[in-house]
Amino acid sequence: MATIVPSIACLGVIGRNNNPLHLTILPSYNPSSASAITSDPEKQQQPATTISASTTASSAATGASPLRTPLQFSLLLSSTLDIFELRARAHAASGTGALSGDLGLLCAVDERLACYGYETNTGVRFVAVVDMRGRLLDPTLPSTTLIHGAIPETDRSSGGGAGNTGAAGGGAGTGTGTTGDDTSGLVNLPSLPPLSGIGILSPTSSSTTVTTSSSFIPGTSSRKPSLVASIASASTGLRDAELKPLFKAMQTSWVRLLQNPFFDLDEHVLPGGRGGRKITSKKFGEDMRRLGMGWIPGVGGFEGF
Amino acid sequence: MTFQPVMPPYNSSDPSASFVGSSCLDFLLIEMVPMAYRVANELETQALDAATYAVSPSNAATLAGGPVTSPPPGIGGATGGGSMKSGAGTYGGASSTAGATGATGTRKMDEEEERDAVFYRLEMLGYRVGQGLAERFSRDRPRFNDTLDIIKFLCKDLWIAVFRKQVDNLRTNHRGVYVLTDNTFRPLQRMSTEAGGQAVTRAQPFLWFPCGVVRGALAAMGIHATVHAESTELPSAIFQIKTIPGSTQQ
Repeated sequence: MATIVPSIACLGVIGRNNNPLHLTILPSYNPSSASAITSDPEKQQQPATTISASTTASSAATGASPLRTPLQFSLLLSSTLDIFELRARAHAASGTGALSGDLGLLCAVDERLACYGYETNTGVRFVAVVDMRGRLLDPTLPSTTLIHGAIPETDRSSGGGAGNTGAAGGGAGTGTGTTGDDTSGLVNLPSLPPLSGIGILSPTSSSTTVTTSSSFIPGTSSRKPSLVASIASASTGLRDAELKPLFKAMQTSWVRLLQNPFFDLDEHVLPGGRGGRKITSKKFGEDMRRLGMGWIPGVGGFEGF
Repeated sequence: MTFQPVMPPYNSSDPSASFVGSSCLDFLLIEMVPMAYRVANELETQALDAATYAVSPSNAATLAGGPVTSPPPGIGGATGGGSMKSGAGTYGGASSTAGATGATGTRKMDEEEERDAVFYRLEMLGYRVGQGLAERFSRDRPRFNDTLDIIKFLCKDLWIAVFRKQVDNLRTNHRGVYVLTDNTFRPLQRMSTEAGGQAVTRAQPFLWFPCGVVRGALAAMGIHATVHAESTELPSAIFQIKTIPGSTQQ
């Protein structure tokens, strides 16, 4: 049973002067290009044995690409600025004021893309463009088997990321598991081929994972349904709170950038009120990429953030 | 070292909280002032030396006297660095030692100029620190909706983070001027001189770095202001914040 879950298509950081500071574009799972690979639903029971390293590699290579061009994403971020301003003005007019900087859903672009926003107290804005069908999640495989672009899931966190993700999902699933009833219809999206049993494995570790996963599944089968339930329920509609950990982590990364003595904020957000240079820090870019890849709805918390 | 109980907002539930010995911070704040004097004087000497190498004495005089926009290579990189880049622009005259050696640039950096140079240096250091602090400690705060919210954040959270106490009194004229009074300002708390030792005057440079911190924090939150600090009686300090109208983005 493979599930399509939301993923991050693009992360943007906008400065106080409405100037772009950073843009990270992430690949989305694309069913049309991956449709050549289908597997028999009967084989779901032994997923670990049906996978060969070659099919996973090809699915990883063909099944993911950015949904839009960088320019289109950039324009999308620009268009969110109006919404930020509109919300701020609405809050000022009502006199209540926003309680937190989390603005939630800014706009839904089409049936796949939606923009979520967060504004820090210092006026820096983070925008996450979510692709509602950007990732193929196969619960029959260990929790590392998430299709999200061609980048191996080892990016998420080094070492014991697999165990951590599963445990976190189990915890979240107990809270949201009751809402997981209506998700069965969603799993079988008509436009999607039955893509069960296909997971992404890093090319180097694919063989070892396949051999170990058969022994891994029975031990974790108890908590796997809850993970699926929590994630699948999230895919029916994303709640604003599910992006909060991401925004918090982005802000942590931003604060860390400011703690770099070679980073001069005034260069990037000119005091005069207009313009500023983009962020060139490689570490910040890597952080953004890692956060974008690692975000799964309902699974909160990022290691090291 | 003091190990005080950890208070909000930097509590143990904050995963990225880190702690520094308060004595360390005190020593750093103390040492910063003489360091700024040394740096200012040294830069002055070097600027003067470079000026004496210039082709004509008239050039040297203008170079040493006027604001040097492009410091000679080596000066900015060796001593300025990082956030002090913009600070390297204003040299006053010559330091006393340089004035004795340099025959052409006999201008002595008088007290006023030295004071300005040191003030600029300390203030810019504080500015950078304030920017970072505001970003870091405003993270888990509710949203600021007007300038007063930001000033309150400054008086409470930021003051506690830096000086381990809140501001004692905050006054405003509701036209963009805020006066913060701290009756026992930590950097001044342990100062003492014999009677007639001009303690207040000598304590003045220790207020410049905190000035910069306040200005930097405000700038990070979108308020451009001038900050002036003075002390009338020793452990107390009065900070006057004048926001520059039209520049606030809140």
